[in-house]
Amino acid sequence: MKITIEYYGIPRQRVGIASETYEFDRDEMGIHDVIRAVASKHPAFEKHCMDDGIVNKHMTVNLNGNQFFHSEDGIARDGDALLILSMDAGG
Amino acid sequence: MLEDRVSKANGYHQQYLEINVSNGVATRHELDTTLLQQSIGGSGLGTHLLLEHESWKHDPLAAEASIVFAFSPLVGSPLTTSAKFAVVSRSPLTGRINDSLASSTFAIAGKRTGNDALLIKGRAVSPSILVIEENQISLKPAEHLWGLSAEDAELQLREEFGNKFSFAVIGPAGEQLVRYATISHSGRHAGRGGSGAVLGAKNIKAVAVRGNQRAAWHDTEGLIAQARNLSQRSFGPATEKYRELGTAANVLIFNRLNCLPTRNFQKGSFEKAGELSPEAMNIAHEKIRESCAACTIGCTHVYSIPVDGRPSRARIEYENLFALGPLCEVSDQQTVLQASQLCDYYGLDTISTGGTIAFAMECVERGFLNETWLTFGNGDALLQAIHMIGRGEGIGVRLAQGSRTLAMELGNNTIAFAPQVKGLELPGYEPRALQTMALGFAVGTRGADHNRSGAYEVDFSEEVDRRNAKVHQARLAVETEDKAAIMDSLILCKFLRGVFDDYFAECATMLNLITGWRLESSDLISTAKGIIDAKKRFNILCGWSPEEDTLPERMLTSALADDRDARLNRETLETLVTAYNLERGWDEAGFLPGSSAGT
Repeated sequence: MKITIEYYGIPRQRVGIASETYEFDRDEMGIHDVIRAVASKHPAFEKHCMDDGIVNKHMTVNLNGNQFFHSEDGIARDGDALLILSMDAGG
Repeated sequence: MLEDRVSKANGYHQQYLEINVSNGVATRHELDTTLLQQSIGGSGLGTHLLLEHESWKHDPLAAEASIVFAFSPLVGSPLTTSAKFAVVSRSPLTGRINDSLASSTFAIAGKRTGNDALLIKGRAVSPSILVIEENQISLKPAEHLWGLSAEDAELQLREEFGNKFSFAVIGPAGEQLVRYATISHSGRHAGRGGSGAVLGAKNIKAVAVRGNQRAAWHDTEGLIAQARNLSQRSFGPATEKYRELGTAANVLIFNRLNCLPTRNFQKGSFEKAGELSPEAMNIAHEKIRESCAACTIGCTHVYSIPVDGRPSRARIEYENLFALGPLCEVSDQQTVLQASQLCDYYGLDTISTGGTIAFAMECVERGFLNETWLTFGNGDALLQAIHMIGRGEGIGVRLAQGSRTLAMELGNNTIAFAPQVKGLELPGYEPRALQTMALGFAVGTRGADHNRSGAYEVDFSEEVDRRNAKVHQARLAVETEDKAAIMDSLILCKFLRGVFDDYFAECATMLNLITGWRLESSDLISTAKGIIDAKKRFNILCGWSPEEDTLPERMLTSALADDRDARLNRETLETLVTAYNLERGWDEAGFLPGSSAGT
């Protein structure tokens, strides 16, 4: 299956790209495992955007522009877009 | 050189100065500890003083109206971001309570006059500078400053008065009584609700303050340790977005989530949003970063732009970008930067400026307003409209009243799509796509506002479905308001909020170190509720009615054009508002216990 990862705010600054596609050899997988794959590919993301193996409290994860999954509990399926973004709004 | 004098009370001078600029008389009033514990400072203190002076009775632009510059117990301390002040008055835009905050040395110098607040009434006979040196006041002529931008006037004042004074200044918009004119200081603005017009109506171009009175601290050693710890945390990941990209980082995120208000709130995304992102701006323009006094975050991103062939600067925040860009469907970077700079030049709230112009553009498109040049996507028209508002020319005179008044003039039910609540134009959060925020906008005491309600944080969490609001979200909205009420009264910058692990407990600790009080989290939560009750009480006395706590009709009858799942109906919003009122301890309609309409 293919999952598109979109980076916004600080995650984009750390990874250096706006988006990329990951291919996994299964039909669905936990969002946490997708994030682990991102961390493996981008050490700067793991260093600056994660704590204790999950995205830190200043980041959040959103699936397809709909539900937020800060705890990374959700399931991603083929064709999904996973957004990783800086959490605070304001301005 | 004067020696510093230290207050007897900790954190406070326990007095405020009432100044009548009609006759130049200043009266000192004591502030008792009970009131200070109930109101803390800033917005809370300002609201209490407005109630005490019965400011609800007066037209906000009348001579009798009061405007309060309120400081706080944290001002002057080493706590990062604490150099802030609140400007509180009845709003000429909404007719309701208005509390706007700004930062930097005016807060420090103002408090060093030996006063916890300055309350100004009356009307000077001619344009004047109100000079306050401790308890001595004087009025100086300001004819030579009339017509200058706030920045230019401040530069001139600094030459005339010296660097020991700090100045709060209005621009031409305040002089013209534009109902969303700002009060400025060092490039920062008490922006929303038209406090600049209140000062302009008093013929006061600038307030100049200096003094040598320092408020004592209860536990200096503990305070310094706390300040050092807070500063360290402020350098960390909680604030890096503000440092690296600024609040403008929201543009791409909001666009992706269909909550970037576009084309006068008809859409939630803008196809050219990428051109206005800070990532794109940083490539095209030189940029420097600046900080307010006593701030370790440094969120201010200032871009270099050429204007008429001369180098110039524009300070950019998300709200400027959204209101002067997507909301008017303008995508040209140079134009949006220049529009932002023009708002600063005239002293205009960028959100209300963009909101009112975008509304006018839709009215033109629908044939309700005969200004055919004022069209969506026309950057030159945007700039021209701002000039006309700032100068009080042509259609600018009508735009200067805000979208609600313009809609009432135009009729044809244009009020249904005027982007305002209680007369205050909505900030850059599409309510149908962020429905906890929709509730926050509807019930906000100063109108649609993202600084007094942080309910968008709830929408960006996994606790809710942001496009399908449920009644429990009312409680979550109340919690964000309570946090904001404390932050606006302490005062600390909201960009610090991410560094706290236990927000109310840490706020209580800071306040206790300064004052010697023994507050706990629960005390501060009660205080927050009391401050919001006080604002509501003021509004009820102004004539508030439950029908005001709503959103523009279009937002309750139509889905977003580009996100059909983003829809909100009147029944849902009314259910949320009722739940909110009950959560606050008010009656279902929103009246305080023991109060009814007008009492």
